[in-house]
Amino acid sequence: MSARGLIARRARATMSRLAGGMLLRSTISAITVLVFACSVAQSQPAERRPITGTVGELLRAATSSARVAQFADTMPVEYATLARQLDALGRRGLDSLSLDAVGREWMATEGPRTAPLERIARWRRDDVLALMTPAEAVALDSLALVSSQYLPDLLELRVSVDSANTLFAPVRAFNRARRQVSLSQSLEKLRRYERKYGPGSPRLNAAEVGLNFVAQNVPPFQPSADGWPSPLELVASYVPTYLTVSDGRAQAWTVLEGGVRLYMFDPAWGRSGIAGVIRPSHIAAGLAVVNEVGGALREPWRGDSRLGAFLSWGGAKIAIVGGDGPNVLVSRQVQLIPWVF
Amino acid sequence: MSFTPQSRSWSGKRAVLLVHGIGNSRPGDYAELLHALHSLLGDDRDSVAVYQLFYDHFNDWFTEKTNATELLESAVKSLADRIEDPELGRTVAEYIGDILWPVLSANARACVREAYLAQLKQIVDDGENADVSARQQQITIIAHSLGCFHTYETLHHAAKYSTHMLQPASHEVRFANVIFMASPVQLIRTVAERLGPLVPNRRWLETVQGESLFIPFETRTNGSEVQSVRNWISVTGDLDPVGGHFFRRQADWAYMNVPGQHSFIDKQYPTDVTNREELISRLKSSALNGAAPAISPSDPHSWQEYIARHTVDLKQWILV
Repeated sequence: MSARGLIARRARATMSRLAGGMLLRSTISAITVLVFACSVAQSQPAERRPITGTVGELLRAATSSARVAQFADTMPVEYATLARQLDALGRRGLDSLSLDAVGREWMATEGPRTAPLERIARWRRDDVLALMTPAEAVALDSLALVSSQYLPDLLELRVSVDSANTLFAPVRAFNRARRQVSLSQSLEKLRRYERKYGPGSPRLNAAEVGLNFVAQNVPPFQPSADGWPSPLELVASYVPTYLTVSDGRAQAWTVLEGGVRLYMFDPAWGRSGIAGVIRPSHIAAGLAVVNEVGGALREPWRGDSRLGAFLSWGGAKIAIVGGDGPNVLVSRQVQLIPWVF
Repeated sequence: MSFTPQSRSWSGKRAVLLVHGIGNSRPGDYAELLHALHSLLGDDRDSVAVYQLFYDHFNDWFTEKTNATELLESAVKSLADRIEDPELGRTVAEYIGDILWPVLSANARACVREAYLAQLKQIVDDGENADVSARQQQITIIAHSLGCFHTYETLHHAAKYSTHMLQPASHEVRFANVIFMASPVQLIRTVAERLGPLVPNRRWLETVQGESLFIPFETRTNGSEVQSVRNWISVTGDLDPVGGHFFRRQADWAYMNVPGQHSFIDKQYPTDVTNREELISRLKSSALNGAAPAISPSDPHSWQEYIARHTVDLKQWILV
C-alpha cells in the first residue's frame, strides 16, 4: 500500500473513531439530559397549604413577641408605634376575622388603584373595606410592618429560632396572604400587557410607533409606577381600505385617522367568537380626514379636506365625513404593509 | 401566551433562580445548564428547588407589535454614529438590539419586570408552603448577561414598592446570593446616560438612578437601611465585552462595580487551549493521527463556561 493510501486509511480510521466517540458521548449526554429534564418536570408544586389564623391571633402574637423580645426596653420609639396600632385595633369585632380574608382585602383589588391601605384610606372614605374601617386597616398594615421590621431580629436574640417562628407565625401568615394577592395582581398586569401588546393586538405603523414612543412620557399613556399598563394608545393611520358608496357605486377611499385607542382590560371583554364582536378587546375613536373628492390612495390633506370622525369597534371601523354630501365609510382593522399602513 | 410562574415543591430551605441573558429562550431550554447545576450540588441537589425565568416572548410581543426589526437597525446605526468613543460605539452596535427594548420601551421594561416579580413571589410562597418562612429561605439568583439587567431592575423595584411584599425588612425577603455573570448593567447605564431624553420614564429606570450602581435596600421606620441581598457577586471574564472587558482591559464605563459586591474576573482564552502543555499535547496527537489540530475558538460570553469555572464557588455560595 502506498504512503498516501496508508495516510488516507489512518485518517478514515481516526475520523471513524472520533465520530464513534462523539456519537457515544452525544448519546450519553442526551440521555443524561433527558433523564434530568424528566426529573425536573416531575418536580411538581406541592398542594397549597391554606393560610390560617385570625386578626385576634395576630394581635396577640405581636403583643407576645414584643414582650418576649423586650421591645419596649430595646427600642422604645418603635414600641410606641406598635402600641398605638394595638390600641387602634382594640375593637372586639376584629378578633375573629380571618387573616386570609383580611389579607386578601388588604389591597382592595381594583387594578391600577391597588395600593397599600394607607393610600386607599387617604383616597377613599367609603366602606371600601367591608371587614374593617380604613383607620383599622391602616393600623393593621402599620402593625405588621413595625413587627416585621424589628421583632424577628430581637426575638432570635432571646429565644430559639423555632420558638421565634411559632410566636411570630400569625404576622407571617398575614404577609403571606398579602403576597398571594400581590402575585395575582402581577399576573393580572401581565394579562393586560398581553391584551395590549400580545398576539392579536393591533400592529402599529411607523408614525404610531413614533407617537407612542413619545407618549410613554405622558402620564395617561405611560405605565404606572408599580407596573400597570395604560389602556390608551395613540392612533395615526393612513387607511386605504375604507369602502363607501359614492355616485351610486361602491368605491375604495383612503382615510387619515388620528385618535386614541382604548384597550378593554376587563376580562369580560376581548373574548373570542360573537362575544368578542359585541365586547372587543379594544375600541378607538378620533378624527377622520379624506381628500376633497374622496377616492383611493389620495392625499387627504390636499385641497379642501373633508373632516369627520371614525369609530373602531374591535376589528370593525366606521367613519363619517362631511362635505357636500356626508359619506359613511366602513373598513376593517388590518395592516397591509408593515410600518406603512 | 400567558405567563405562569414556575412552582416547585421545596424539600429544604434553599432555592435557585436562573435568569438567562441575550437570546431567544423558551421553557425547556438550558437543560444542560440545569444538569450542570445539579451536578455541582451533588448530594444536596434534592434539597434545592431550581427555577428558571423565561421572558423572551414578552420582547417578541413588542417587536411584532411595532415591526421593530427595521427600527432597531436604524437605531443601531444612529447610535454608533452618535457615540464618539469608537470602542463604545462598536459595543453598542453589537448588543444594542437586545438591550434597546428594556431601555427604550417603558412598557417592555415594566412587563418583563412584572413577570420577574411574579416569579419571585411564587418562589417565596412555595417556600412558605413548605413551612420555610421568608426569613429562613436561602434564595440564590444566578443571572447571565441581559438577565443581570432585569435582575438589577427587579430587585430595586421590589425593595422600593411595598405592594410587591418582597421588601427585605417589612416582608423579611432577603436574597442569600445574587450572582451576576457577565453583567451589562454598567454598560446599559452608560448608554442610557448618553441617550439622555430618549430614555422614557427615566425616573423608573433603576439602572440610571443614584450616583452609581448600588445594592437595593429598604429604609426602616427608624431610618436604618436593610439590604435586599446578603451576598452580591459579580463574575465576568477578561475577554467578555458584555462584562466590561475589551481584550483583557477593564473599561470603567462598562464594568459593573457595585460598592459591596464580591468581584471575580476570570482569565479567559481565545481558544479552548488554556496552557502550553495542552497545546503541545494536542499538536502531538494531531501529528500522530494525521489530522488537523483539534483547537476550537471559545465563547467568552458563554453562561455554561462561567458556571463550569465556578462550580466550587457556586456550591459554596448556594449551600452556605
